[in-house]
Amino acid sequence: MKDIQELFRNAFERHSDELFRHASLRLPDRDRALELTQECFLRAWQYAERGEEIREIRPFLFRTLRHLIIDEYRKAKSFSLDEMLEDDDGGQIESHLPRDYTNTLEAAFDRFDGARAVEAMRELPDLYREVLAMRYIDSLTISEIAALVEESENVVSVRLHRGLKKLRALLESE
Amino acid sequence: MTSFFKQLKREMQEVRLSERERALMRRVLESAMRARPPQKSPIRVTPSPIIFFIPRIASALAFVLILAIVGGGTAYAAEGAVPGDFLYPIKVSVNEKVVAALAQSAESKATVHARFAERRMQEAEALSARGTMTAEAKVALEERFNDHAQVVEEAVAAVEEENPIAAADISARFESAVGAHSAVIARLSEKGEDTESRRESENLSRTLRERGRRLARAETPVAPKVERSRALETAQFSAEDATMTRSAALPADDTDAEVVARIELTASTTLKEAEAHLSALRERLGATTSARTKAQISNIRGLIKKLHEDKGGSSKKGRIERALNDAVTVKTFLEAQEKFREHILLPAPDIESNGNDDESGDSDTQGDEQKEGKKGWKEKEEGNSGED
Repeated sequence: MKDIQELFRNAFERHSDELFRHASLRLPDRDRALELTQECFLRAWQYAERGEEIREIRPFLFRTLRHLIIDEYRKAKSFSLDEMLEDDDGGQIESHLPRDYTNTLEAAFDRFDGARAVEAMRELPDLYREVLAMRYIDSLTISEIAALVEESENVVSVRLHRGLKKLRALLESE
Repeated sequence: MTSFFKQLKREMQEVRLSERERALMRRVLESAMRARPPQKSPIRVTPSPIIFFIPRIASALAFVLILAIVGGGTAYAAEGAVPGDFLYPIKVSVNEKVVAALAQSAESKATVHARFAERRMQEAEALSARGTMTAEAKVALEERFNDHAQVVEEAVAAVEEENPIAAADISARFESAVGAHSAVIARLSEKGEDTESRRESENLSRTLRERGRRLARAETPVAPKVERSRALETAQFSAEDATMTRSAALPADDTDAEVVARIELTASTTLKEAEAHLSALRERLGATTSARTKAQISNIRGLIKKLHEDKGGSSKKGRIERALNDAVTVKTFLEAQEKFREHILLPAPDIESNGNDDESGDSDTQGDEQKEGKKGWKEKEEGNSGED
């Protein structure tokens, strides 16, 4: 038991900020983000205490947080699930694009002010915001993101791509 | 990574926990790690801390209060207590008192006390499941339940003035919950070996069922200070004509439509929660039971969809309330099945939306289940016409 407790303490110190950061980007309410971050750790603890194995704590925490956020969207009165999801056909068209098209697209962002982009991020549909946050703020790899959101790497790439396009459109309209 | 994204990331680094927030969270985690669930019996009531339920109230403040008053792990561990446990008084007299004190508006009072009433029913379930429902425990639970139900009724009456839609939603949820838990308690006590426990549980189940029906039939809830003549009128009306449903006396049609929409949302959310429980249980349940429960859920969904598509119709409110009732029943049974592994609770009985799939039956077990379902339906009907 002692070892698990130490592990948890370390996990908390190491990951609480980034989990909170992720939650507060995706939820409108700082208080709610706080509560969900806390709930995330508590659930992870309950899971471990039941004797279940957690192989890697960071993805586990992100996954747990993700489920909590999904539940949150379901419960919210002013948002609808439609806002969270968007028409996602898995990217039939984009799957044929060359790999480095996204790199080119990324480079096009350099003329925007990254500091002001935080506001724009909050305006994106949550579906895109999720993957953009995971990629550019949480610094997860495409395969890590794919495992978390339970989609193929291809779908993730496409979603990132579309998210970037939407983000650029938002920044351009300012 | 391009400089834009570097800037973005740097900007986001500003978002973090304050020292105070971090310290608080650390303490909550610590107290959870110190807590040990009550060792009494193999049945574990998983604590779902009441603290997470406070609707939008300053929860940081609440945490500090509770920790300050009781000190860490105790408050947390008490959440899983049932009557007879050493920590039970902490659960009801400390934890719940603090939460109740923080509920200021009529709406939060209604919600919070509805939750407390539900906790009493869940505790009753645990006692029935273990076969340890004594006469004293039953009386205590019943009294506390009645107190909370009274507050709910009065608070809902107050909410009704400003926000009839929220009032209708809280009422509908509460009624459904009462009926559902009553059915679970009845099921749990069915094969009990302890005579006293079985008797007390059955009595409690009956009382709750009665309460649920009374709630459903009442016009506006009995509130001591109701002054509006409309309320008086309709209260008299309902006393004379017990078959009057709530739908008929609500004012404008738009309010009705909004109420239906809100209850529909609640019902859909409940069904999703039920599905989540069903997935969690899938490995433990047999294929037939699993399929049957899944069918119940689909049927309810189907009914809701149909209601949505029907144009007009004054009976929409009644229908959506019944759909909510069924959804809450299924969910409550699933929750209970997760907690009380040794009992067979599913499929949930008395689901009105069973529709046509009662007709087909491939195996004997399915036949038995259908008979049970039909019998439950009959009981409900007879019960309804008997009470005037």
